[in-house]
Amino acid sequence: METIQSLLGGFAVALSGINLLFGFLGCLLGTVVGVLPGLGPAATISLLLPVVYAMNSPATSLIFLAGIFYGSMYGGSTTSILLNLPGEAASVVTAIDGHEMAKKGRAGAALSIAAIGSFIAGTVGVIGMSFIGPPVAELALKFGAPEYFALMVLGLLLAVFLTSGSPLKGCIMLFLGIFLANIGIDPLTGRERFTFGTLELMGGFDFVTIAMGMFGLSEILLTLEKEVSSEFVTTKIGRLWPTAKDWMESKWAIIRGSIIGFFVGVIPGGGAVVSSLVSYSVERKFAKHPEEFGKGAIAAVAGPESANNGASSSSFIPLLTLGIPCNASIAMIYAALLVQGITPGPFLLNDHPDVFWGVIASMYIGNVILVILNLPLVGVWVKLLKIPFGILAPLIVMITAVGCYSLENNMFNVFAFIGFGIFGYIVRKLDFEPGPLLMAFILSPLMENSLRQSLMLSQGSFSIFFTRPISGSFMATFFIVIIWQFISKFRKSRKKGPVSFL
Amino acid sequence: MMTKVHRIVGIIFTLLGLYISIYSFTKLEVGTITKPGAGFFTFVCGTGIFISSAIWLFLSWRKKGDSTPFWGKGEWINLLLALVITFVYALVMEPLGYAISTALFILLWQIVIAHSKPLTIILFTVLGTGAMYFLFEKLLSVPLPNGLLPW
Amino acid sequence: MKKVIPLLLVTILLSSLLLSGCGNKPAPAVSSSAPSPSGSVPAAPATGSEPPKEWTPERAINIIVPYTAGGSSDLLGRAIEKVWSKYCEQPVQIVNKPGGGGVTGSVYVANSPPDGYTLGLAYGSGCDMSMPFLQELEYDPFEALDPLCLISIHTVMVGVPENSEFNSLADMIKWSDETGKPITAASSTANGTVDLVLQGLAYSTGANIVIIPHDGTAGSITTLVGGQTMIGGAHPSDFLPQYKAERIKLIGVATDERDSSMPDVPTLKEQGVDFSAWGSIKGVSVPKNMPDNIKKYYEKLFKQICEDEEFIKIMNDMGQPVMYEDIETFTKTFKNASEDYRNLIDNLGLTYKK
Repeated sequence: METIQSLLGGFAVALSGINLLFGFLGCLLGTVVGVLPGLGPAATISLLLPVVYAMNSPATSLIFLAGIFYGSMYGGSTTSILLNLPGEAASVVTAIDGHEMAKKGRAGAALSIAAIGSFIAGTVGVIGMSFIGPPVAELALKFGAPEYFALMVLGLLLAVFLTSGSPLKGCIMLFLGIFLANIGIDPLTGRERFTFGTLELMGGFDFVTIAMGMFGLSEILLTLEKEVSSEFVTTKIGRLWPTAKDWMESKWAIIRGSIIGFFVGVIPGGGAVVSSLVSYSVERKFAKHPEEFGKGAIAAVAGPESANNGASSSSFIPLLTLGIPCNASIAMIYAALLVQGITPGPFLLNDHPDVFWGVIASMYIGNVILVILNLPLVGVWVKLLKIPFGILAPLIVMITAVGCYSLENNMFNVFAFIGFGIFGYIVRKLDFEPGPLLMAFILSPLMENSLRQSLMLSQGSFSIFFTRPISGSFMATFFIVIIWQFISKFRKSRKKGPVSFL
Repeated sequence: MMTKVHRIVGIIFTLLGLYISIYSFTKLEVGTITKPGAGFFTFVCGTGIFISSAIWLFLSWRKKGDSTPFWGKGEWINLLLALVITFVYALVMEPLGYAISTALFILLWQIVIAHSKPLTIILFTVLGTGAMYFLFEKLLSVPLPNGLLPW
Repeated sequence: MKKVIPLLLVTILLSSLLLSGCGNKPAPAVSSSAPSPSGSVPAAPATGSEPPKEWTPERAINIIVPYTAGGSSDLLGRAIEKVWSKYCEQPVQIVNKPGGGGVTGSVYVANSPPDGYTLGLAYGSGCDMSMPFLQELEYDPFEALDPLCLISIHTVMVGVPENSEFNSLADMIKWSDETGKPITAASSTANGTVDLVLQGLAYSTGANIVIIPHDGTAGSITTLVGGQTMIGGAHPSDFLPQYKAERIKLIGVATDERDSSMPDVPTLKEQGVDFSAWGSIKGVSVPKNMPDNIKKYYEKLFKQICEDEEFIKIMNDMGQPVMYEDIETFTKTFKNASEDYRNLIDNLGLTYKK
């Protein structure tokens, strides 16, 4: 009861003129940033901090910055589905089936289900945050190095089984992704790795250049092989809204995705990315036609997209209740609050209830704003695909190239983007999937650090991964999934003759 | 033809894996199991690439030859043109500045690859260049390269 | 042509949408006629031709923080950003370039043009002070960068989770002696200034301290709050939110004097452990060969910032005392600190040998 009363107080704060305006602007700006390749939410928040300081109201500034963050998660799915350009790590999984749907003329359905799923997941996340936030936040503290390592190992295993491709090829891509992430300065010791003395390689490759190259540019190159006059995806646009069948298929995916996203999103570090991977695998297990996964299954869009939006809401929980920032964007918000004299943490609730409840209430409103903002845009976005490929292609290449330039204001990232485009083109022609490589690239740093930290903690004993309850159950799941895969392959081979691992 | 490309890529991956493992051992510190060094994880990763690529290479070697060519007839022409144009775009972006190089890039692509109508070409060149300039430079205040002209 | 019309509509709609957003948002104005930040900038005037006396920036200035967002150096940068516009007409942009314990960002500054639009923060941190003596490092702080001014020095504190049985260093040493088990300790980066304190603590007390490095402060604080390690080290401003929330107890500070921002925390020496260090020096650095008039401009600017009452208050609230020093004094301080670190590490027998 008390919660509901405080929440109502929060709504009074969030609905006051200036806060509502900035909540709306945050969501809008977030959507734009999410759609554009290159500039992510962290960079945008950093860019806008001087504006925030000028507001002189911690509640307003937090509402604005939070809007940018979850708005960008919302907008990130748009380019992934339409153009196969995942601008955010969390929308890589959405891109896989989402773009396949677009190719089949079902971009409208994919975009609307993503928007609706995001709305539901976002709302579920905020409801969870208002009522069971503090106990869930403790989950974040249960994660030590061994738990992270086990989670990453499990995540990478799920990444190998992303799409319908062969597991062996998935493994090769996975290890290549880890290798790419290793280039640069070792985060724990400061040693240079595979830099060959070049300055550009010291900072390592940026996620955006790899994602844009291996997904976006290679897609364009593959399309270029065919007739130039052809459209990028398809002429038929199909209906804008999901059919009753789509809705049936994605209803439970959205709900499961929301719950997975809410709980996994609390884990600092790879929360949002891992939750989308987990949701994808869960949906494949529940699906009536798992063979459609990777070829445009709507549940494979609905689930992961809901999961990553649920995660974006719940990643605020550790910040607001424990004072622990979960990711780079939230760390930026944490710094902004501290500088304004507000200490995020358990006392925030008592010392500054207007900030605490105002932000939570604004997230309820923000989710409504985003769905109102995005659903009508679906029609607009889909019309984009009507543009002939010959015109659309240079525009996409130009936008992504400029986006890559804007990452560091240097040309190295643009050349890296072109290089990864060519590499992606060659391996995709040989039926390699870029998904596992990208996932491994994202998860590898966390995996490496947690492995090294765990071994230091345990003095070199691998039993540390199996004796602790959380990491032990992750490891058990890992082995069950592997054994399961082998058994099902074996069964199939007895029925239909040898099955190729290629 | 396809088989040949498969084999070449397989060999490259296998050698890359081997190279990463050796580099980790000689140039970086692998460390000990109680105190893993900078080369510990890269060594594991290199070995992973080596083993998985070697298995793949071995399995695909035994498979019967796939005679489909890597490229169909004339498929590579547009591809090559597009890559050359993009590469040149990246090369001239800093010396010429954002506006000129981008306009040239869109123009060239549409003339050489897409063979668009003149009106379409002009329209999209101007619109595309202008819209992106506005978005990045004005709205998001991200500096774009400027060379000959102030924008 | 038919296909073009819907497209045009889309573009117009989209840009009007963006425009409406822009009209309301007081975006930081960046001069559009600004030269590109990399490459094409004309070099500093050659020797012989007299450089102009006064220099003022004409576009946004980037301050590179070589650590993750939310850490003590980042907070310092954000505090500067908060008061910046009072003293400089051009906006400032704090850019986080974490990695390699601060090396990635420092090298980035070192390789930026000395045109006054890229400055480095946190000069005098682990990668400048302790790392060069503790491990093989391709980066040399003296060769790479020039000092500009000092803003603050962050002491290193040792903390334990709230439910820990250690209430002082004596408890910890006693536990170590009685059980003979290793004590796990969280540090933000390997061989940084915090890491060195933990290594020094192990050396001076004879306890077996197993140090677990992280890739930034946020990680090491989370580890410690969650009780994943038994002790941990960090700077006061990193501990402060958790200390206020009573999730962490602070059992020692590794300086000769107590930290003025947290006077309740006793020093290691008071507790009979003969170890103290400078802590982490947070100065401003500039790329080599920066013209004097640009340096003068920033020296004055940072002096004004450091005398700003709002800035001093923010810094004190965050547990970061302001201690401005100009170029000349800071250069000496930097050299002295580096010398002291070299001797300290030598005495501990930790100096890296190839």
